[in-house]
Amino acid sequence: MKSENRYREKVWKYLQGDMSSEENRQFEEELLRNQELAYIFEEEQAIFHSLGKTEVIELRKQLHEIISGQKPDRNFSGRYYFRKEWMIAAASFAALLLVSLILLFFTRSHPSQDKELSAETDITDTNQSGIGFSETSLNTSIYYRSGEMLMVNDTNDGQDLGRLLLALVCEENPMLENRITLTYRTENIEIIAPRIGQEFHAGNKVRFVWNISVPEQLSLQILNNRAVTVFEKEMHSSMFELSRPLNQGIYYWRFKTKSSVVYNGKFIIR
Amino acid sequence: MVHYKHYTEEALIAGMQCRDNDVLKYVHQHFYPTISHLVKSNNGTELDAEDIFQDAVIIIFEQLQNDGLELNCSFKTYLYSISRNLWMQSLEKKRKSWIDITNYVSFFEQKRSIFGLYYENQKDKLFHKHFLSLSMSCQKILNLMFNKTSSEKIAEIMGFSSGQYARKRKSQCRKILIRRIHNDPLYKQLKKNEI
Repeated sequence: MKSENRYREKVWKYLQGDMSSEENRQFEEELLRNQELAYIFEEEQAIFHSLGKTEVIELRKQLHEIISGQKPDRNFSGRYYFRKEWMIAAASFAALLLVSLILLFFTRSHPSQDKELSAETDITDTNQSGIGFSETSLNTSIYYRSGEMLMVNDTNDGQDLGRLLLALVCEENPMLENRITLTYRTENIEIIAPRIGQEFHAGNKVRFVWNISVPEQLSLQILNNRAVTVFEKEMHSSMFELSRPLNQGIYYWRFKTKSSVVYNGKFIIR
Repeated sequence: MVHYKHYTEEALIAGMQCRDNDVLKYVHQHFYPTISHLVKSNNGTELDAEDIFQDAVIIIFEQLQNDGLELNCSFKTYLYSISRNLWMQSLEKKRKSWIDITNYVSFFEQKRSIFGLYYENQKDKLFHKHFLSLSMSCQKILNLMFNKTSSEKIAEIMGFSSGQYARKRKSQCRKILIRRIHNDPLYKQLKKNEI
């Protein structure tokens, strides 16, 4: 690995024209007899030549702007406009449905306020995440999750319940997912671990490793899939191992400076 | 709706050669719908179609820059044929089923094989994506480096205190770029395909 890095440095020095004529001659001679160097040279030369095509890079930018800039025009064509109206109707219907479910959830979560609840129904647990359940018959329970109602069969030794709870903690949070891709990562920070979406076994320690070229005070924040902060700490080196065990589920994490969020990532505990 | 003036074939080629924005907009406005239809009716999405259109335009631009281009058909047909071949390659890579498009290589004659063009273009796209993800100052420094500008001159242009500092910044930016490229799973895949 060390020799590979040394070779890469050498190759770039050559490609950039930073070598003296004597160094150049020696490098070219070595290139003929050193296969590993020749392979690395080919790789790096391809990158160097490609990035030297400044006009093509500019053209890419132009085309990107044209394509994204002309997108709204399509909404004026009959077909797209028709689709748009249908989408508005569907969104309105979904919003109505959501409001009804939320109302249903609140009326059922407060039995004292709703005298007309069925005698069979007994709210036994709710928590701050909006997850609750009620027993409706001998075999079936209805679970509420943020206004959604899910029916679970309790006769199979709680397997359904286990699956449901696992599904709840392993559900992606769309808002936090978006941040992973949208956050601008400055060139000053490079995340080595964990990779986005990396999986860890429950009980194993999660290790964070990064490089930062401009010294800046970073703090690490870990959130669960309901965007609740489960851990936050200021970092003092370029590596940190989370000693606190985390439950199974999806976790989102971020590095923050005093002024902004510089990185958003995600890992999964299995 | 934006209306564009009409361009002759020669004007289109000349405009493409100098990246004339109006010509590029015209090409997109008039020729993209056919490409979009081709891709979408063959297992593709709107995003795939946009990618293919961009890649085809870039291939034509590079041909114009390198070897010049003598067309035996209309510009629209040529763009379409390149798009069709690129999409075929992309589908083959994704191992999707392909029903409508056959004999794609023989459809048009080119100096370089479409397979080579496809992989070269994929690599370029990947390198350029990571390059454009760098800060503007890094992009500028690396651009100067690719043009073999000396560190002292870079320091002068960028307003750095010394050539030594320019060298340091150059090395930092390059390392970040190279690490991002090498860590990209697509890069590893492209390297494998090359072998």
